[in-house]
Amino acid sequence: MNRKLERKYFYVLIVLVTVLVFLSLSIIFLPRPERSETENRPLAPFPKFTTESYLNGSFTRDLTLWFADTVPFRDNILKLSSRLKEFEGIRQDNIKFHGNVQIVATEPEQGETAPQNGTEPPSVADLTPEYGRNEPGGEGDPLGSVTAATEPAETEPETDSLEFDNNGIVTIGDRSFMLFGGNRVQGKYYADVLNAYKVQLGEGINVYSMVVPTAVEFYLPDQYAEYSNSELNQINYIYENLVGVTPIDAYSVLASHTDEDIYLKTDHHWAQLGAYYASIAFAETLGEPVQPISDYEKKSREGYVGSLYGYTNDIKILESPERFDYYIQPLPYKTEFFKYDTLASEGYGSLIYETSTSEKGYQMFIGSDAKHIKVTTENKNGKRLCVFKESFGNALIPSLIPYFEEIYVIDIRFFGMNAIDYMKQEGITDVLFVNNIFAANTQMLIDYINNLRYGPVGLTTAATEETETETTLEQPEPPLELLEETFETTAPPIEEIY
Amino acid sequence: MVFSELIFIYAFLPLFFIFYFLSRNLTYKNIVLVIFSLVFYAWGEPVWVLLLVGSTLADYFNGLFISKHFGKKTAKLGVAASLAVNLGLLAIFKYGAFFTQTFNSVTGLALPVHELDLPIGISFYSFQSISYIVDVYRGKVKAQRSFLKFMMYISMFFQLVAGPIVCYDTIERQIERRDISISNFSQGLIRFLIGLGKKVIIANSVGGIADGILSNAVPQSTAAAWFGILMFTLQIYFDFSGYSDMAIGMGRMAGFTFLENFNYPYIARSAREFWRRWHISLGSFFREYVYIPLGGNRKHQYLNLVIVWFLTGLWHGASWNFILWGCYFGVLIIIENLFLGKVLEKIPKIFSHIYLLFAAVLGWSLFYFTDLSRLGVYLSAMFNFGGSNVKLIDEITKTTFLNNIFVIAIAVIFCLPIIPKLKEFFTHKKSAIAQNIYLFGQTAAAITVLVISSILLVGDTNNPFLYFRF
Repeated sequence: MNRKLERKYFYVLIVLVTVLVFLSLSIIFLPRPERSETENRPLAPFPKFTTESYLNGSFTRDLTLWFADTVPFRDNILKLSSRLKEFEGIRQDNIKFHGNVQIVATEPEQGETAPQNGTEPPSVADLTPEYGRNEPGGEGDPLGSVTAATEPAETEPETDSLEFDNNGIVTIGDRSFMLFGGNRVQGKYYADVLNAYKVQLGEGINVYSMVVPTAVEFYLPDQYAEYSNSELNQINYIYENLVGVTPIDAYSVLASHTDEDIYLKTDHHWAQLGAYYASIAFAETLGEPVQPISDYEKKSREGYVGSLYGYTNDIKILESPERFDYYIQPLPYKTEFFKYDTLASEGYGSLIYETSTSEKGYQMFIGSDAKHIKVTTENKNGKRLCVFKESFGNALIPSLIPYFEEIYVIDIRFFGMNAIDYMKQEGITDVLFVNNIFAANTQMLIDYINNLRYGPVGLTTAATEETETETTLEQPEPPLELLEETFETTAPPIEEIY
Repeated sequence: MVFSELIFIYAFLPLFFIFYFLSRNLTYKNIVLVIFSLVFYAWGEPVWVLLLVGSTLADYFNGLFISKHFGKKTAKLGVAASLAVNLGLLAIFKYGAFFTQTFNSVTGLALPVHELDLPIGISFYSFQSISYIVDVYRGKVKAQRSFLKFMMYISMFFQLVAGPIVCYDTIERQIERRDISISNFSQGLIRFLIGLGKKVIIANSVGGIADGILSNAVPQSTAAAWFGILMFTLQIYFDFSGYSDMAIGMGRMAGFTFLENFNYPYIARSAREFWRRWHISLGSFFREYVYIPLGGNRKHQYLNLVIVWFLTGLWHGASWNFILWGCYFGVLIIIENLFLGKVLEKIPKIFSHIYLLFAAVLGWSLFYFTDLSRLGVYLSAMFNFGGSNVKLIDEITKTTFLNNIFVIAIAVIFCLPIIPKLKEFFTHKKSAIAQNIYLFGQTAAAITVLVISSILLVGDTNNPFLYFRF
């Protein structure tokens, strides 16, 4: 190497090393964020060093994750990263797919969808409603997420993580939604669990099931139809399998309002307007006069970007924020919040948290998922409703106020007591299971609902010893082989699905 | 730790080089390198680092023993001891479960199968150790008297966990005296950054597409099947050669010259040529330490080829599909030796290119599917055999292709020897201006790649796979 060239490389060296040193110092010494606003999640914490955590490798693994996850200016860099990814290719017709999308739709004819994974669902005769208690599948620790979710103040409720298996996400113009895989075996399981509730609660208590379709059902262009299963077929399949449980046809009323904003465009949830329409179907089933939407006070917020940006990191979602509409129930009511586990009262609050920042659109409804809620209305009809829900149910609660005297809201993932005992203790007259069709097809979530019949889920409980013994006596041993078979044919690990 | 992690690029590596260059004499440099290498290794394997030190210690003494008994029959004992240690560890950790399962299925017995975690890099460092011992035995290199230096040779974090397999004789001189210079450091750094870009910008992107298709139970369509395996073809090249680039680059920064490990394999025109361009250090190892000792071309050549390719397959993983993949190349190479090679040279180039690409891509499908029944499903979709009622093309494949068309184009372009051509164009004239342009371009490209890769790496922790779970 001649000396002239060596000197030129000296300049190269100076430039490269300056850049590297600058970046290294910035990344090491600048303050690190603890949570990500765009993704709406806490970032990886700095791990605790113990001999054990070092030796099993978790310390170094978590340290690596912490270092990468809490990079200074993370949210801005993330946006840059989303922008860079736009250069990967072009969007024809403004369409982009995220995740692993598979062909799932089968015969389009009504009713006769072939079961997924090539196995027959167990016949009704094989399965008693008396499912045993199952450990919720998957790796997520529901209690762990509760801890994270309860930390912030009540007025800053946490988002839930995406609760269910899906078949990838599609962005079409300014609207994104998840593609529906569907799973008949799980649908049957869902129906059976609800039937089991009905059996345990007895004739005196009305049990209703509302399975909610999602945006993909109404907004997916025809040419992609085979990548999403018919939600209508799956909902009907669940309803056909209900015994003694009254189905609520939310589908039809939603289907007739698809030109209105019944679903959020940047979020995997429905909009409150959609939930309102679904409540019409419920009111009609109950035989109650419907409260018109004009009674509500409509409010709007501009610039809402929902959960799907965090899930896809697609810059187009960030760049097309939507107007978030919400509706204030005019009837008077009181909302009391309880700790989900001990049921200790945490005082009174609102069903809609208007004080939260505008980004938090859907999280405005009923505060955090990880709360147990009792709504007392001025209606004196003596009807006490208990709602079992995941986050889709949150937007529905305000619209149920005209029809009940009291409404108890149980989040299926967090509630820490025996739900049957609890409902008997509170003198519940009506039970509503409201779940979106993804949740009603996701084993882990159905397991949660099922386990609540046996509760508590490892937490403190108000249930007395007698009732516990009684419950144990009432439940025969779970038909284990049967269960294993069911589960093998169903949800593969989430990584594989997505 | 892997090289394409922010903590490695921005914390570990700068710290290492600060300490390395602050150490004025060789011994201190070696100590720094060994300590950082052990920390690096223990990052992923806090316990198996003992295995690494233990087997290195064993071969250190084996080397001394062989050198003491050089030329005598007893020297063979040292070689035998080394092979026993290295191959024994491989047999236990990497192949234990596989051997027992195979044994069980052949004999119908039900011996307990113990699935052990594979210590990272064991396949690479045990081969380096073996190459050293055999070379000492052959008198090709002198036994290393300093344990520190030997430990450094085996454990150097540049190539410890994913190669290339650096034979002792190729860096024997540099163990004693590093070739440290400003130009080596700069060029090494540029090389490292280019490797980083290959991994983060290209391999991760096309890998995501490949995964999306290959992980399905059945490909959506024939087009999807081809698209998926082609993306995997790109992914594995950019992933692996990117890693080698980073290793070679860091070695150069520290004053070591490692041999090249990849030389644009997809421009080859025969399977033989492909293997002279793909994972060169592994091919050389098998040639030097298996094929030639067996008799090479002189004695029962075809048997030797079968053995070498069986072992090459087995080396890649404890599963039948890897053996199948190795033997597949073995068969192609034997056929080429018999007659096909001459044909390939005579026909128009385009046809021999198509032949090799087809062979390589098909090979990757054997390589990818550890489950042979899934391989069957996939191949029947690719070739639309009767019974596989997949469509010719589907909408998602079209959309995914368009959604990623530019990154795919970049990947394809960089499979061709563009960079060497550019270098030649700018430097062969010895014009100072051309040279300056080249240096400037190189530097600018390296910085761009660093920035883009870092941004993408930050985005990567927003990994849907991590928190799409409940």
